[in-house]
Amino acid sequence: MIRTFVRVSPIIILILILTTGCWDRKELNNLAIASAIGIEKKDGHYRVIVQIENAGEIAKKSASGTGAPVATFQTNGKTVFEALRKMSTVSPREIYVSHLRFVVLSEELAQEGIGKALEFFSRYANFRTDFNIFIARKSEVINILTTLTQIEKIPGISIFSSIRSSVRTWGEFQEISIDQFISKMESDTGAVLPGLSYSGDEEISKNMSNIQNSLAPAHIKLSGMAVFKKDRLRGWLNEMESIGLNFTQNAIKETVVHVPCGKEGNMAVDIFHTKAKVKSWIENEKPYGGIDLYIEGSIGEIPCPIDVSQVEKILLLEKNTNKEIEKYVSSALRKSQKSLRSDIFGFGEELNRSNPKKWGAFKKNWDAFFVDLPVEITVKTKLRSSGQTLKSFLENVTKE
Amino acid sequence: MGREEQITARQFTILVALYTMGDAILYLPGQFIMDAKQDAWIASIFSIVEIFSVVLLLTVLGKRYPGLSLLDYMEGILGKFFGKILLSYFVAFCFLDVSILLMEVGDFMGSQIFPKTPTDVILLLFMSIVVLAARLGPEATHRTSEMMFPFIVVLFLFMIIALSPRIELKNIQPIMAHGLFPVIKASRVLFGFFLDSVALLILFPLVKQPNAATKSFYKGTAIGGVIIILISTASVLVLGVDTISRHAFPVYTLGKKISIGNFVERIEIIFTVLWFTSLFFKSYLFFISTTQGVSKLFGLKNDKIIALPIAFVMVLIGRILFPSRASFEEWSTIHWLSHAIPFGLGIPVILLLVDFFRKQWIKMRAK
Repeated sequence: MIRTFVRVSPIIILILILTTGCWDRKELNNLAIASAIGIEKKDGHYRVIVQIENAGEIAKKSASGTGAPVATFQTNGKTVFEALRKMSTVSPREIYVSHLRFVVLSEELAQEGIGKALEFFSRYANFRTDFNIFIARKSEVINILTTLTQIEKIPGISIFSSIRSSVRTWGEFQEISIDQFISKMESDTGAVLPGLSYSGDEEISKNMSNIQNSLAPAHIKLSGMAVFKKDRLRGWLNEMESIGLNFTQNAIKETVVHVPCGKEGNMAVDIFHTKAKVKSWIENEKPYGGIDLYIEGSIGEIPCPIDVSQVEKILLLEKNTNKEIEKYVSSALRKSQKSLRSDIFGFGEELNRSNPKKWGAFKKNWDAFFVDLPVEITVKTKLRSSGQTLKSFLENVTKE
Repeated sequence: MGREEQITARQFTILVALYTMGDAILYLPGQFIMDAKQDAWIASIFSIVEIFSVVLLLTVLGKRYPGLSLLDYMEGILGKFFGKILLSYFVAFCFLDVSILLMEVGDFMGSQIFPKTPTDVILLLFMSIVVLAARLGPEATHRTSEMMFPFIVVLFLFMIIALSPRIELKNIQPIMAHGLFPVIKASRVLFGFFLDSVALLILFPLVKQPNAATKSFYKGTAIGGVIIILISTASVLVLGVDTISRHAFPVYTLGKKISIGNFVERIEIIFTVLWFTSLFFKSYLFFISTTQGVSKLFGLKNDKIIALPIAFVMVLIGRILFPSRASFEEWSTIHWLSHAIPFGLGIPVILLLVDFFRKQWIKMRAK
């Protein structure tokens, strides 16, 4: 009995040691969890800024914590990876990037080309693909990463949730993961990325007092969509153009558009279902484009004295909505054709799908063809309901 | 040889299916798209037809000598001298094959899962299980495969179903834009992977009925083939051509795409489990081919005693031959076909031809 035990025990001990799988272990108390990374380029160097979650402060139940919920470190390096490793000279813990929420790149870097800076993010195995990429619009990256946010204590998570909810309800932005962005950069379709901007008091933004106020003196805000040609920033789409673009990319879950309803002003149409088709074909050796939109929505707010229980009134409003959404789309189209010169709608890709044989001839000079591409936009709207009221009460209160 | 070892037709089917999946399920989508682009899924269907022709060739040879393994009739057909030469070639090839498979394990684990664990440790652990299987003999190993196979199929189907919401039909359009030729050219890839299937003739005679073995050979290839078609199609539909071409292990990347209600996520490791299992049985096949071949070559009574030393040498050779992914990439895409065709088609064709003419000659002499 004892002899068996003596003989077996070394094997058991060996198995215990060998099968723990501790070779690549990372202890939580040695890690600094990065929630956001910012990159700028200055004099041929990358300046990398990392926002670290300050676990001790976040866990505190009472608001008496004096430290900020995040800490920001910055270093320089010839490469992004090098700079990130060099972070250990300022950070007490190893930077852990698997829980990264977003990457923000400076506008200057974007104009120069962001491909090189992003290479590391697609190669390094510790990154997941679910972080967002933003371009800092008219703002310093450092300000974006150091501003403290309300409600969500960690700014990284705050922005991450902000774009999530914005995509769900407002439709101005697209959540674009790094592999989607890289595919777009590589293809003939122009890529887009959401922008982030900072506004407010620079002194207070980094201070806890920023979030102790009920109206924060400084805040970060999603702002516009950056348009790229390959990896270079070409320019920005404003709010209306971004929504117009997203309509065509099936990227809108819900949004609200304003539609003129008479001389009293604009009504709000709550859009909850969209279906878009971007088409492209060749006729007489020339390319043509088309955008078909089918939209379902309901009346959300209407200041005009219109009886929306009547069918012909609804038809009229639907027609107005068609016209208005066409304006959204054509504004984006005009901008992309005339000033940005980047095929963000994917007409080129569609041409490749519909006519792969002839596409080869257009592919080389697609930019030149795209700029003058005639595009037909058709919008079909159905207004399904008018909310919980029929006739607006305004009819009786605004008349004198 | 001791007691007669036997396996059932069902176990042989499973082994063939696992062999067909082998290392292919991890590499194929990436290699199909090199030529076929978005038509990789069509290429995968073509390639199944191609590998069936290999199966036909092998079963014709296998059925000529029921109950005897490839190693036994090699000398019988070619005579002692030429038989030994062919046997040496066979052994060398199988030996190299295991080294390649080991390199694949090392590369994958090293770059994706255990970046800082020394590759040698991973390889030694993997190899020790293969040695264990070889020493326990075919019956135990095949019963293991029988036990694991249902899990593999269920997990695989689960992964495919979980991926289905992410399918984008746009990714496979335009269909056959560049005609049929690139598609057929791409289909050679699986054919290439399947060329070393001659080694299956070592296990073929362990099934008592040669006809049942033939049937299960086809069945196994079909099951493996369907899995390969599904995985190639799913890769293209979900990831698209350029993402596949960029990633070192597209199927692993495919697994990362799974997200059910933002809750069931990051289960890509399941693909690794599948791959590891099929790779294990493939390594096992070539490992016992090597050990049995060596013992036949030198007239050893027991092939199990040389398992351990050979395993160590294999690990070393694998590390030396393929120091990096790039060297493996060059090998598998440029040199593999010319390396494997003499083995996969040459051996059975030579054996069949010589055997045929010998029998004719004997018949003529008898007259």
